[in-house]
Amino acid sequence: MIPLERDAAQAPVLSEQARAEIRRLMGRFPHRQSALLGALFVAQAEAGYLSPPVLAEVAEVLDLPYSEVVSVASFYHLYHLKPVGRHVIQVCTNISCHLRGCARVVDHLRDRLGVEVGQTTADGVFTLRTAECLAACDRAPVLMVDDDLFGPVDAPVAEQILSAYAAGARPAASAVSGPRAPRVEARTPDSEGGPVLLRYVHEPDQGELDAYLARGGYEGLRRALSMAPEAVIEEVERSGLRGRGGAGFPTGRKWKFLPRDPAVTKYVVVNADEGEPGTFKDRTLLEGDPHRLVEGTVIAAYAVGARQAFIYLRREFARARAVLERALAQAEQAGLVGRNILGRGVDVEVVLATGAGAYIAGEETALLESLEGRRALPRLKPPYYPAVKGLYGQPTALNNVETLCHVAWILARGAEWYRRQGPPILISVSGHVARPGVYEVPLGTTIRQVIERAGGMRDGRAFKACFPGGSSSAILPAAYLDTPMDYDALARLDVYGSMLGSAALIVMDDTTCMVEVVARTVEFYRDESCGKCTPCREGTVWLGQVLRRILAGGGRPADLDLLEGIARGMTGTCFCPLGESVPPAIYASLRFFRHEFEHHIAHRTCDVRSPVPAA
Amino acid sequence: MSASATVTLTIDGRTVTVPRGTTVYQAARAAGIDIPIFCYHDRMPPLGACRMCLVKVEKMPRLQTSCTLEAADGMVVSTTAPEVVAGQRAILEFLLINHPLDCPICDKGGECPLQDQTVRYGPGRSRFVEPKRDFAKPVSLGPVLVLDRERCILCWRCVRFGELVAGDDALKGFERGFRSEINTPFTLPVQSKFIGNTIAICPVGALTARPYRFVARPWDNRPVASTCTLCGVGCAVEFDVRDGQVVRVRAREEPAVNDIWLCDLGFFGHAAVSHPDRLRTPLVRRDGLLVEASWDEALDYVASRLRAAPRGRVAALGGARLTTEDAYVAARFFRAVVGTPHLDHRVDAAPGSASLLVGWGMRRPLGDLDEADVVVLVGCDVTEEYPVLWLRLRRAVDRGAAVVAVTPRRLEVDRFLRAHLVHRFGEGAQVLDALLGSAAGAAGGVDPAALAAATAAVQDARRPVVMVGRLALEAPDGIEILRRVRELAARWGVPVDVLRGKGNAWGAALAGLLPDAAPGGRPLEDAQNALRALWGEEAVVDAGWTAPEIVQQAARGAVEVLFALGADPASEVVDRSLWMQARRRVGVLVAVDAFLSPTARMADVVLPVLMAPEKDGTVCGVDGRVHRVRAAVPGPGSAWAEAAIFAALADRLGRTLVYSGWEEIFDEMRTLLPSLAVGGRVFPPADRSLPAARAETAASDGDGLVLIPGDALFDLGTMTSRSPAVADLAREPWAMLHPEDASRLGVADGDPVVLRGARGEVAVRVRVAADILPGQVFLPRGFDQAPANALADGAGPARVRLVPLHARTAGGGR
Repeated sequence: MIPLERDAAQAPVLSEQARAEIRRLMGRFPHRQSALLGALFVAQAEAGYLSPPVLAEVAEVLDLPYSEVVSVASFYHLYHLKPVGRHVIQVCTNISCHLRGCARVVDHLRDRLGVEVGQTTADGVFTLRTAECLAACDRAPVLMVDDDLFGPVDAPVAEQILSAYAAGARPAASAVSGPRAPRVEARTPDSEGGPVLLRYVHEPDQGELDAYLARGGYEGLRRALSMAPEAVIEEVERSGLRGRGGAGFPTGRKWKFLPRDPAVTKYVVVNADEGEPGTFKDRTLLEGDPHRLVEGTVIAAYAVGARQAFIYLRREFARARAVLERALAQAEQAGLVGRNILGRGVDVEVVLATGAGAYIAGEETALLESLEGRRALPRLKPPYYPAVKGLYGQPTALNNVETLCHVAWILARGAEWYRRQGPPILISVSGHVARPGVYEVPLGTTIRQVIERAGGMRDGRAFKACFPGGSSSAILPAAYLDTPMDYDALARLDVYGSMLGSAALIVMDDTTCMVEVVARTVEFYRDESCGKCTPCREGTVWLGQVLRRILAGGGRPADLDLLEGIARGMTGTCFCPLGESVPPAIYASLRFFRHEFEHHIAHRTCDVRSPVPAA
Repeated sequence: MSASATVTLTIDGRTVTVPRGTTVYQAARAAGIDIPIFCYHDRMPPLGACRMCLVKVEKMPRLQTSCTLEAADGMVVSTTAPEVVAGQRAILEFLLINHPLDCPICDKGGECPLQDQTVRYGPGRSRFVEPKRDFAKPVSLGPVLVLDRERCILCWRCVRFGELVAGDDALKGFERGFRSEINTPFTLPVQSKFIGNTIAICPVGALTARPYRFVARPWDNRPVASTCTLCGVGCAVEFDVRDGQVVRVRAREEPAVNDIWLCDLGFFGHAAVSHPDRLRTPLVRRDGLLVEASWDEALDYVASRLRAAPRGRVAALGGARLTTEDAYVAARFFRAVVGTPHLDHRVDAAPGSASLLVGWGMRRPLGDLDEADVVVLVGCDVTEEYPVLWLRLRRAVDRGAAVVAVTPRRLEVDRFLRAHLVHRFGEGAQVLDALLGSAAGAAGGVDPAALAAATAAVQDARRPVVMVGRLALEAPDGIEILRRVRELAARWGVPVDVLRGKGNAWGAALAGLLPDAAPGGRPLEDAQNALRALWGEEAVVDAGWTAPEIVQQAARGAVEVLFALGADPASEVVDRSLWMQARRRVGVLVAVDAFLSPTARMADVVLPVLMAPEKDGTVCGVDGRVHRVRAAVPGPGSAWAEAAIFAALADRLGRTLVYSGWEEIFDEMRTLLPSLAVGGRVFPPADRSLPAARAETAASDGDGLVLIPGDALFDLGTMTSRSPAVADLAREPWAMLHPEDASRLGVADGDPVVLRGARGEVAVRVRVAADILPGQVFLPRGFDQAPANALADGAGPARVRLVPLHARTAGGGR
């Protein structure tokens, strides 16, 4: 019995229509709790925010404990447990947007709306919030109003957006900031053919099945279904493909871990929860070439013997969601997804699910928890590697969007062809380069070459540092510019935490305060920590407090050792990779940019003009 | 054990061999090596969240959490390597940065793992100079639980207890990251019957018990190992005694019964023992008023009435609150000294009910439930009646058991059941017919899908358990239910476990407080010679009246002296009006009680007695296990044990009934029942055969709602209303109504109403829930202000009318 603070005679808050929609969601998953995240959005859309009675009704429809429903709702950023304005503005303040001036956008909006971050305007029209990386760093700084993304945003653009919404309009992104399709570039001219993954993402009709088929789409699936599943896995293994989610595990080998026993229910789960700061290649693929992902997903399901695949899509990707939903519907209609695919007696159902605002859900076991409708807390490993015990405790092949797009190409053209292409890799380049964007290059292109491809440094400034693999990787100074961007070369560097990761190259020039960058990085992990384990939960807060104190002019000489000491306490002690992602930035910045910390402590001000010493 | 069943590893240079599957933490512990832990708890699977139990393992790249790491052959583990020490220090430092240093006023002080481990493993000083995280404190989460979020180290034990052990999801984590907090949704009062356990397993002072806050330090307390007698399970407890009072109750590990858990009645329901309302001196009615009297006055008076009464006109009701030894002395007193066979502890059984045809208690040990693969639970509201038994059933569920419940009210643990047949009261037998396949189609209003699931679940049982409880045995069709339950059990060749009786009901039966059984549970005729030899006097071995018959005979004027022996017939006899008639016709009503209960209030003589925590002796749990109770505190005033009362009365009747102590009585009982032993199990009295099936008496079609009298763990009876925490949990008398009936009758959740029966009425607040089928009202017994037995009409299922009261007259309850 739930004692609710409401009038007992009060009518239900949720309409029958909303309840029906929730029940429809329940029908799409093997277990009803998986519908919880979606159900909460249905309820939120209808009621404005998730008040206790609304949450109680969701619990009732799903037949879940009320405490569980509230606990889950409170975990994710995108649920409002308190009233919000008619429009919610989220300004990205992560590194890439920080480097491109998001602070000015936030300041402008605060002034203009007369509210602090987290507050709602008196007229109830706008709630102002900040957001973590929205995976649109090529358009930084970006903001979202409700489901719509805008960028790059400066004060005049922000002004246009505000007045449009205040007037009750829903402006198209292009209307306020000009068309800014993801910047994608062709591969280096010395390899055969053109770009692979990015070849068609610019084509406006690439999301349409007919166009996709006309460009050779679903050839990979056709070929895969003509092969034995084991042969498909062999082919992927021969291609040398390694997972593009960040860990870089060989994809074919991963699939081989799943039991072949047909009596065992297996699942494919697609990690489309791109959130590693500075990474936006998956969004580019999702929006620009959705059928490629569908094709790769069905191939994966066939290869491992799964009859159901779930795409866990980042909730903020509203456009990708629409594009993908349409592609899935078309593919289903055409018999490329669903029952008896291509008449070959293969059944693969593909279900699109969304997250609800949690970076940690990108961690594979946390993603599974989230997909099961719970708080996105990482699971204990071993023994619960997804391939052994994944979704609903069943063996699960869990792959990233880019990985599965590679799979579609590999099956279409063959492993040998694929290897000859580089193999290709997508790099998200953001920050202080002239042309931020997604670039397709052969694996092993150096950092310097990639920056050159992105037009070199912005405004002719000097390179200062970069994150080569998203903010979870170490920070590298200029001395490492000639390091090839591949798994081993970066991992072999004498810098703790250096890695290719998600291949998100965040470039910083000599106007950048490294203490500020590190503070922002730490705060990101602090806010995205799930809170399960001690060192991550407490260490990130503490580091953030010390860094902010230094930035505010309260630094002490002992703080350098303290920062290092806190990082040491987190190193190798955290439950999952999230917490372990923090020390690399601390170690590297203390090593390469110690003078900046010292300047802050000694002079209580920032001096980014201080010379960068030779490494 | 074969070679492959164990692994051998080295920990701190010592070779340790443990069963395969053991974690490194457990292996170290087995070898006497201490590894600090916070989140790990050996009753729950490892979590690996606190990161305190770090160890170094050769050939592994980083420190490992020993609580999650399975020991493997050849592993070389260090718990003291410099990296390990540094790691442990780092974790403790992290835990302490936001932990308030309010140990001097924290209830956990002195028994706090965080305190202990900081001393042993922590850094000497803190490097933390930032402001600490700040939460409003403390937060009240209902009548018993107090939460201090600043002290919480987020070990998740309490959350996982609710999810994995109790299944009530009472406490949860909210928000995330450094904003994470343990709480209830929106800080509502916690909804649990087991929350005391979370206080016990909290490794810091984040969860404290309101009744114990600032009461004592652990070193002030003297622990006394005893047994809880508040429901029937028989859980092992530790009474923490300070200054002659039980200040706290803790679970005592007893793997065969409660493991390490208790329910909240056990944790918080003993407060009544030290309540100022305890009777301290005998009372005798003079000029219509109960006035204090000396023991001599009171006993002389009772003895004189006993002398004057014909032997067959003396009767005794009750006994379940006595120790088995006191009950035995009482039984001997009545059978041998007074010479009456009219004894029965089954005060709450209805006339002719199935309760009187079964021996109360389980046939199998409680521990067996863990291993069951199919459990059919008929008519038992398990969490309300035997809460800790549910924890064992939950374990069975976790191991894959299918639990099928057949009850008139939806159990709160519904979601753990394979199938739940919620039926109309009085139609349970038809439901069982459908389940047994002897009738087609759903009956009793049960959900056909649930019936199909239940039928499937019972098809393939290898280790089935069949249990039947009070809601079935006392149902209008109880005998027919019992007949079918026996049929089902016979099919499987398993016994029927009878979940019936509170407190030491089983001990009372064992001691002979039954009309048809001698001490030791033997048939009367068989025991005659043994009793004569033992007692040196003739005992009456005629079959006496059952409890309902005693009340009926008393109401007819056939009882001259009636003892209410640790029982409250005014509240417990199913038909209060019949009881009132009995009271009027009885010559002398002697209440042997610790409080002025409703029965004692109308008695002629009230004799104050000790309660279980004031006595030494034994009691029996619901599975027949014999447990010790120990005198933890002295009794109030001049209260006596029952054995002393009967010895004194016997003395006045010219007979000797003196024992040196409980051991002598126990030993004497053992001559009648050689298998009797503390920690051993005894078996319940034999079941009786059932009368031939009668034509179904169709439920009377009268108007009104069919009354389902049931049980609530937290109620407001004589004792519970004097245990403040339990009284607060019980809040007020209530009755449950189906939403359809509620809207038809124009009442809403929380409205005050009067339930009006043929002979009486009660005022309650309505709880609207679809946990019962329409056309019925569920009314828990045990609320003295709204006694369910006032609504009985003595014929079949009672029907009641519901009369809404205007909210203004409700007295500000909301």
